[in-house]
Amino acid sequence: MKNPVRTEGEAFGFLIAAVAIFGVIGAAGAIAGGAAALAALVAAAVGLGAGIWIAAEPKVREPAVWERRDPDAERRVD
Amino acid sequence: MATAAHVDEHAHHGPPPANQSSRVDSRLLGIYLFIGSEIMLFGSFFTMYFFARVIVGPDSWPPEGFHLPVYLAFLNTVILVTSSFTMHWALQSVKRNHRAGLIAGLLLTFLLGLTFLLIQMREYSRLGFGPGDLAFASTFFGLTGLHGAHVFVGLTLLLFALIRSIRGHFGPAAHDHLGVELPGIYWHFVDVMWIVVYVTVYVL
Repeated sequence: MKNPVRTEGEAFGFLIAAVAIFGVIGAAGAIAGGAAALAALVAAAVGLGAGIWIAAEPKVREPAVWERRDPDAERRVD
Repeated sequence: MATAAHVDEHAHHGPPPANQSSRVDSRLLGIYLFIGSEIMLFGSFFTMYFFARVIVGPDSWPPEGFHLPVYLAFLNTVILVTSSFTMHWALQSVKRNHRAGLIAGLLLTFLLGLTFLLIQMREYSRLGFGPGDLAFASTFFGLTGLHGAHVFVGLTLLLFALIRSIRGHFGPAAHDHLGVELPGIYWHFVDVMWIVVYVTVYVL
């Protein structure tokens, strides 16, 4: 499963998705009651699961592994 | 006399480098684990909330005389979501080596987060009930108070990042602005938690 907070950009995208999904759930609950909110939640969960299953990992991603210190660099304790 | 020991040109001075068995930077791994633990913590509070709500029953939730300021909380939600946009702006600015944008973004994010907390405190003072008044109030204060504490921690991180950005500690390279990236990840997580809290506690 893809880490949704792998970088700040991905965390921001995750937030936007959360606003959209929970906005729909909240609107369904406010308009049509708890059953509609529950139905929206289930639909969102199923859709999310299907999306994760279908979507492939992108071939090129922003590297999350920051450059390590040059191995030839000295580490000194003065 | 020849030197007693042959000095290798590549002799290592000081302690050996720390073992890094993970391919993920340790600081990034730290924030991932921290967020994971916080998800567990919020999960336990949400479990408490739903358990109490099921036990009490839908007819008595909220109990008679207990009203939540839904629209004020919606305003707070808008403020917090906006603060995530300014945080993202700050990160984009530092990646483009735009120092003014970084500082402005961090400052705006901090001020918006502070406004959120102040509004929440004002809301607490005008609710008309306290944490000890029935399970509804206890779960409400538990969830929103826990989130408020996380906002406070986020504000502390943002303040550190803001001070360091003013002093010019950050650069456009990925490893040169981890001090902004990690608080950014944490801040967006806090925002997501508020979205869930708001929809669950105030709306539904």
